[in-house]
Amino acid sequence: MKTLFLILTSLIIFFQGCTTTPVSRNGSKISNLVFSGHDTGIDNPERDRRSYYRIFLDKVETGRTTTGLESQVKTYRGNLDTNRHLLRIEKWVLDEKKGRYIKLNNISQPKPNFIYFNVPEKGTVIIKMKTSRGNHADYTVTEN
Amino acid sequence: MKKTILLIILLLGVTSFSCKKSIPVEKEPNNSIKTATPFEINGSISGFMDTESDRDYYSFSVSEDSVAEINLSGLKGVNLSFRVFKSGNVPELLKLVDDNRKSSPEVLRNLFLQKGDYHIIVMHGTRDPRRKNRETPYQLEIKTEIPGNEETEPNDRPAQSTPLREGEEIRGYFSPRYNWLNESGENRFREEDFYKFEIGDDLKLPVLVSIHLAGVKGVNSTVSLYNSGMKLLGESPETVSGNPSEIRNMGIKEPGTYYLLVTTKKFDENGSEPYSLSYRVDEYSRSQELEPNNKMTEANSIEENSIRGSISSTADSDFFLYRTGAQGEEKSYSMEIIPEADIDFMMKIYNNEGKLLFEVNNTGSNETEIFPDFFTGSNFYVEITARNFSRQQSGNYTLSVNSLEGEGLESEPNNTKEKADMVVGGLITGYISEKRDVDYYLLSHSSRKMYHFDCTPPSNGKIRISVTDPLGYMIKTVDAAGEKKAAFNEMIDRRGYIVIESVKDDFRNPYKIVITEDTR
Repeated sequence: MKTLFLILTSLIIFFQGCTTTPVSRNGSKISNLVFSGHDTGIDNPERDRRSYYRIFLDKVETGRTTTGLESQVKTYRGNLDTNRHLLRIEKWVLDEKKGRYIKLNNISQPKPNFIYFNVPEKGTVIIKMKTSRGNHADYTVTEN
Repeated sequence: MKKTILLIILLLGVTSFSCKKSIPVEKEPNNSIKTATPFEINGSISGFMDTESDRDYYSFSVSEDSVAEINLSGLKGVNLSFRVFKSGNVPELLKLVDDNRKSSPEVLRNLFLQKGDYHIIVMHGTRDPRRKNRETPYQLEIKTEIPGNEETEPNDRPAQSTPLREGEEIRGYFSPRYNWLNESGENRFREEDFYKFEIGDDLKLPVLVSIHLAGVKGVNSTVSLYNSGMKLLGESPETVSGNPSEIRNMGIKEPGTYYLLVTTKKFDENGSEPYSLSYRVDEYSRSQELEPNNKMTEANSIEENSIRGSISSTADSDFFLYRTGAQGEEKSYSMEIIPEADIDFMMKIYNNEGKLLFEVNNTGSNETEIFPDFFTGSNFYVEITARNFSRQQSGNYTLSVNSLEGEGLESEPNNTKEKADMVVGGLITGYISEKRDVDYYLLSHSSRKMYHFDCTPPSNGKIRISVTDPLGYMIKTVDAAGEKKAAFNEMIDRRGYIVIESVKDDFRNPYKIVITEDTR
């Protein structure tokens, strides 16, 4: 009887663990948040700068997107607990003369530069951001 | 009464006449050896330049070996010269003295005279138009002394060298200004003094020979060392007028006769102040430099990881060869030059093929010059020079080379993206190797990963750590200094460079970067 109880307890803990922190085959955590962002309306290569977005989740810097041209989609993958969360982004562009990325002035940052979203118990949240001329940002949130 | 007065007057007259020391006068005709006017040494004789082609011959004898000083007074408007011959069936010309100037005296010092007969011819110099002067006499004077520690003129050729003994100073003169008998190529008419010394086969060879030639006012001197075959072994470095000239720690590997040539750079003359010349022989040890090592082909081997050397001028170069042992075994080596005086040393590092890899001048005068980590798998050369040096300083230094042990040691040169050290994480141990040093490391992985960077700066330095995108553009930069470590996370998009820049140099202590994958 005791043995059966122990097995059941272990199984419960195991499955609970699976739901809170999914792990891939190679041991890394499976992402349940995907953010992607890009600029629209760029039709001049001269103005299409290399860039990335710094990601702040719940006011903590957690990483950055891939790098790419402003017109290209740049992505970030993360893993969050089930809850409501705040995503804020910072856009950085390459200053070729300095050989380093610099943070864009606030006036040139996407507006708005944040979004609140919910992470469900299962599935992945996909947030897409498109920034049009005038730095106006549109966010689309979907669950997969 | 009259008689008494007459006697007194007579006596006074005789006395005053005998008080006047009369100088003998040449007896014309004295225009040949046969008719030469004889005179006593340690005395003077006067003569006249009666005609434009007048030649006055004098003869004198020396009863024992002597050193003579011959002075010929100047004659206004006339350029005089004299020649000294040793008598014989064929008279031997010993010295021709002509300073090439009108009205000036001619001097010859340290002329060594063996017992015997000699002739002097006083005549016009070669440069100016010949003028007679029947009104004013010239004076010729010869003073002799018992030979001591002085050069024995003529010592103008190796075969006439004055012998030198170790530790004894010998005196000579940068005089006369010209040696008109010197017809040798580029040094034509240069007055040269040759000396010789012996290195016996009873000495444990090699030995180190150091030569010191004291400075003389108004003379830019030089001393050169030759072997018995008159092959130049070493030369004192360039100096300025009045300063001493030296050759330090010249390695002598074979017994035999060695020659020193003392001369001036630009026909300088000082007939009143003698120079002094001496040499010293020191034992050689393998931890000491052996000159000449001014070229890569003459490089001294560094034994037991250190060697003592000496720089004699800013033009002096010392080459050393470090043998790494097992060829192909790649290791890092730290190198230090420790000065003994206020000298700013420089170091150049060459690979086995003689290609210059590093030029190191990280520190200033009287500071240890450090190159902390040179990575190689083969023998290498180190060249040492000095940026500043004065004669009053000791040019001594110690060069040490030590292999480094440690985990994740950088491989200099890694100063560009192309030469970046490949890393996969773990510990990186690097050094600020030169001023404004930049070290590149390339971190690559098959997928995009977040890494944690834990950075410990050199104890007394400050570094700037940057992480780049795959193209090498900096994405994140943090500083770490002294006790203030830096830690941060950053994404690496399959590949990214870690760039370490020196903000405040500390060449002695390493920085450490620990890179771990962040799996949170």
